[in-house]
Amino acid sequence: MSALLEVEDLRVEFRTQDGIVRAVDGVSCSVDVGKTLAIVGGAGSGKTVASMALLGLTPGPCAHISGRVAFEGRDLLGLAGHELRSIRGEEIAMVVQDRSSSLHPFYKVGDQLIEAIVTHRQVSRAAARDRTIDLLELLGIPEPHHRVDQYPDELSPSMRQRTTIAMALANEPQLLVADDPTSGLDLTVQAEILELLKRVRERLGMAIIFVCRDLAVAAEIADDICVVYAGRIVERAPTELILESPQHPYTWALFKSAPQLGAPRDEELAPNPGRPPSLIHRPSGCLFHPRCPYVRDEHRRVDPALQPVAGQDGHEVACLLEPEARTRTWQELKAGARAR
Amino acid sequence: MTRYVIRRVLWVIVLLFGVISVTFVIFYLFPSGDPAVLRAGPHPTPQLLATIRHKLGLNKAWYVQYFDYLKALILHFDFGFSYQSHIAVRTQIFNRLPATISLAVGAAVLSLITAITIGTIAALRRRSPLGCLATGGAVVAISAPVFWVGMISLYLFATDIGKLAILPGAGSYVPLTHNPGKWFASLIMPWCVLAAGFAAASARLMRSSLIETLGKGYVSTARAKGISERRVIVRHALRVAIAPVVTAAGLGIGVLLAAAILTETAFNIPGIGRLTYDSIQAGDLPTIQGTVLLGACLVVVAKLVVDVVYALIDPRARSR
Repeated sequence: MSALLEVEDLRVEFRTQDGIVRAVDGVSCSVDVGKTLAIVGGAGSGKTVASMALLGLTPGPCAHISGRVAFEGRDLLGLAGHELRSIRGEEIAMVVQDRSSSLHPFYKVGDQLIEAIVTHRQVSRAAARDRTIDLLELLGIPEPHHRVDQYPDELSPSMRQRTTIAMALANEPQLLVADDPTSGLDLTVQAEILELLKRVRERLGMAIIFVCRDLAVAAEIADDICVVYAGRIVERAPTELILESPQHPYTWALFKSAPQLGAPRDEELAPNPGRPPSLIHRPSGCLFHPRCPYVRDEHRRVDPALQPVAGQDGHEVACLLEPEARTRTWQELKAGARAR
Repeated sequence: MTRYVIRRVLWVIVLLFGVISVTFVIFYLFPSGDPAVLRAGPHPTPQLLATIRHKLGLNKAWYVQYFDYLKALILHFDFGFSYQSHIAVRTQIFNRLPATISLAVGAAVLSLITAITIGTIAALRRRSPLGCLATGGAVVAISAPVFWVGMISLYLFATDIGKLAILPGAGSYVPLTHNPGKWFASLIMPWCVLAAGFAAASARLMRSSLIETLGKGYVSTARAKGISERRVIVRHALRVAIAPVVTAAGLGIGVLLAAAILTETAFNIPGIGRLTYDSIQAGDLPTIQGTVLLGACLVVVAKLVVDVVYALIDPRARSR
């Protein structure tokens, strides 16, 4: 498989009055044609900023983006405005994070989809409207002929999210960047949206960058998972490997803080203690050390790099603990959870 | 949309009826002085007072007075006669209305246009010198009282007393029908003075509203569609950001009318504001009553206009 999108050393900095906020601090990853990469992290991990920066969409006038984002050989960060715009919505589409405001409240749903189509295609409004109705139908929206003339406020949260996805798919992009498309939806709807994404992915042969905060949700859809913390990738692996033997204490914490299906009912969730670090005054050494229960003295000085995990193809982790210690601790954590 | 407008108009009628009744209560049941004494002039005799009471119907029961008042007002738009000049209040108001309408509507349009332009520039160029200048200038304009700005601008620019005599000064107002060119020239300074504070407040609101809107998901969605930045700003962001500015402008019409009194006084424009000011000085109740009612009507009608404009901007308002 050839890489569709290759990100090298992506950095996003915000120059604020208090100092430089390094929201994304040297992220490298790649997505192959038709594959799905999940970026998983907690609040303030930089996952949203990173996903928006891919398309040059970083909010605020004080953002500074550097690195290389190669899409089919073209460096997106070096493109002029109009070249970038011809890619946005046509070859790479995006579903933005804020589900409640992702659709414009003042325009009819249909008009918003039609705008997405006619921006890139030389078609009549009538043809664009027909295509819009087909898209809404494809995404399982009932009565698309009727819905097309409604305002977003008249739709249910589930339908609004489907419409947002429909708009992103309007021009059959090769890559969809979906920023937490299932957050805030109830579990049934969440499952429906995931199924839907899988279906259109098959149908269009589209690659997806799926950003979310829940490892279990990411595992449902992704081929590979990157776990990010404080603007850096701390662990990266194919989905099966990360489910089977997660290596980083932060990944463990993500697993343990989310409810698991099949776990005993009285099992208590272990929220991740501490707070995300300041991105201006970053901790010394390993960025996770202030919250890590396994911290040792040297971890406060040495900054770990991503290293391959021995014997696991494609698995990388940035952790200073010895591999044996990591495996042992995870086995204990798993056993402990089961025993309780 | 039609149903929405009809609903608003019906509501305006109810509101106007309420305003008329409240004005009656204020001026007839709780008079600030005996109307007969005010009407009679200096050194009245008891017989004269009794005659006046009889003529004005002051000795009738309050509900009869209220009914007479409603009938005169609604059927004939009749407020009675001025105590001072013995001219019908209606005539006085109609003579002076064009000046005030010219002043207030011109200032409202000028201030909205400047506010939206400056607010947008300040929001889009937040860190540039131009943006800072716009924000700083707005603070100065909000803080300066209208009468002070009026006098300073007369002192600076008026042809008679100004240091830089380029614009017609106080007392130069000419009706539009007489001479449109002179009408326009004479109103340039009053428009700017009256619009300044209002524009500054709206510009600040516009700036914060647009900054907030630019952070919304649908603005990112619009950019992600690949449409031009100009279209993102104009079609997707500005339309939302303007809505609160329009609402505030509607609520601010009353403030604008109050400021118009000061502006008309400073520039000696023979409008409703001057009429109100003079009749308050003279205790001329029928005229005060007429101007108060007119002011209330203008505010109510302005609110109607704003509600309709708002519904054109935000489709969600139509169903409410």
